[in-house]
Amino acid sequence: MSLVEKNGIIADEQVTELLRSLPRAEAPGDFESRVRGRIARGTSGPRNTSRLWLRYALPALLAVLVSAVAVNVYVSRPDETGTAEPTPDVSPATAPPGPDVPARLPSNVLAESATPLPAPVVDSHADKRRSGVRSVSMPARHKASTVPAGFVKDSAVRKGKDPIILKDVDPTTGNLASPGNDFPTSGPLNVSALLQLMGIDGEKAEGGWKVKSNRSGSMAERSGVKAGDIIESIDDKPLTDGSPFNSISFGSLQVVREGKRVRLPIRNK
Amino acid sequence: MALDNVGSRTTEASVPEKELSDHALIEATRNGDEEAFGLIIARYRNPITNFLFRFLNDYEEAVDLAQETFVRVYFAIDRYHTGYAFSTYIYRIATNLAISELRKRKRRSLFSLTGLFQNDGDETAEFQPVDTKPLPDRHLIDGERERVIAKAIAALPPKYRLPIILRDVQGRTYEEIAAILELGLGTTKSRISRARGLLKEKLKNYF
Repeated sequence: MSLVEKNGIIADEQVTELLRSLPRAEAPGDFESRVRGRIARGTSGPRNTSRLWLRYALPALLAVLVSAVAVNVYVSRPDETGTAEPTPDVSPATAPPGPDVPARLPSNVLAESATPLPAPVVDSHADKRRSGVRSVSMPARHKASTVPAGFVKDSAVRKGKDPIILKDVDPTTGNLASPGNDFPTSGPLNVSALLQLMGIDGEKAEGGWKVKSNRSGSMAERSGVKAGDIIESIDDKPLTDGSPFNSISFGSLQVVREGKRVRLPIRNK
Repeated sequence: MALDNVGSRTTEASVPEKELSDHALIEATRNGDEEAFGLIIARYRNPITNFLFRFLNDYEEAVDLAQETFVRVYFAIDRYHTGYAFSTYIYRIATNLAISELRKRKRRSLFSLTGLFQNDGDETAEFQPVDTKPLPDRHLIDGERERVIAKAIAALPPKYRLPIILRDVQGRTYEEIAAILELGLGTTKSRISRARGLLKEKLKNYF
């Protein structure tokens, strides 16, 4: 048998003959008994049924478990955006402590002589703070006028975005209310927010931030900052490096005024 | 149909074994005649074993799958209908089992190499161990010759290997091969032709 080329072509029939010349494999002598044995045991289908369940059922079960865990984690995760509505179960406002009232009083006493208790001052934001609810979400910058005073969006501060109004800052003076107050220490303060705090209306410029105007009576005004000044640094920290202020001592400002560098001590009061 | 005397001696009331059609034997099996099923086994066990052996190139595995084929035929005997030939039916079962076995082999293998032939798109060849023996000359002994041919067949992609074995080894018709593999007649013929071409390229250096 050979596949000799004839006229350069090997005929298909030659391949066929070659394959047909192969010896035939035969089933062993006990083939039928083995088949009947399998039938008697009821072993129909895949020979390794245990592998079937490993191949299909187990992965399916694992997929269900993973999905259940993922759903559970997603559902139970705390809201990180701060955009959630106040939870419905916020504890009701409690009345401020009023005059001591005996535990038991005759009803006529209360009815005739009891001074009407002042209406409770509802500080829902305080209550939310006590109950652990995070800050009310801050609207976008262009909606600053609708934002309640005294709140800053934690995530916005941490991300260096502009908070709208800082806590306990006198909007007219821009002064911090008092030491140990609720100056936002929850996160770093970006440049724009810090300048606002100081009473500066500024914009980014080459080399720093250019002062457009100062609030009357603000820290900036008291420190001698003038419109047109380019603030290069605060407490020797450049304003151009883009990083927020993690801490500030309000020591001094360095500004460029009419081409000259001037260091201005910051006067808080 | 009574088949009590099947396989012994013919009588006026019985039909010679060799004249019993597959469908008749199947019908008898459905009616509880175990001997009829024995005849089915006797009639197809060698062709099915040989077919699987040539496809898998593994005798033990071929015997195991051949047994499984008959077991499946038995348990599905009620679902078989005589709309097509029983040989088509049993070969199709054997083919499916063989393909499943190939898939298991692929999953078990640690790596794969391209086979003896160029592979198109989805064609894959099984891993073939490197043959460290010197190239044989034209005077091969029978055992070596068979080994070379078997190796060449086993290196064919399954979609070519199946039809070429059914045609050139098992001697099935094109129409039956198309029915077994659930392919069109033209596709069947083209794949057989392609398989022969591939085998020519491989075997021409050996014969």
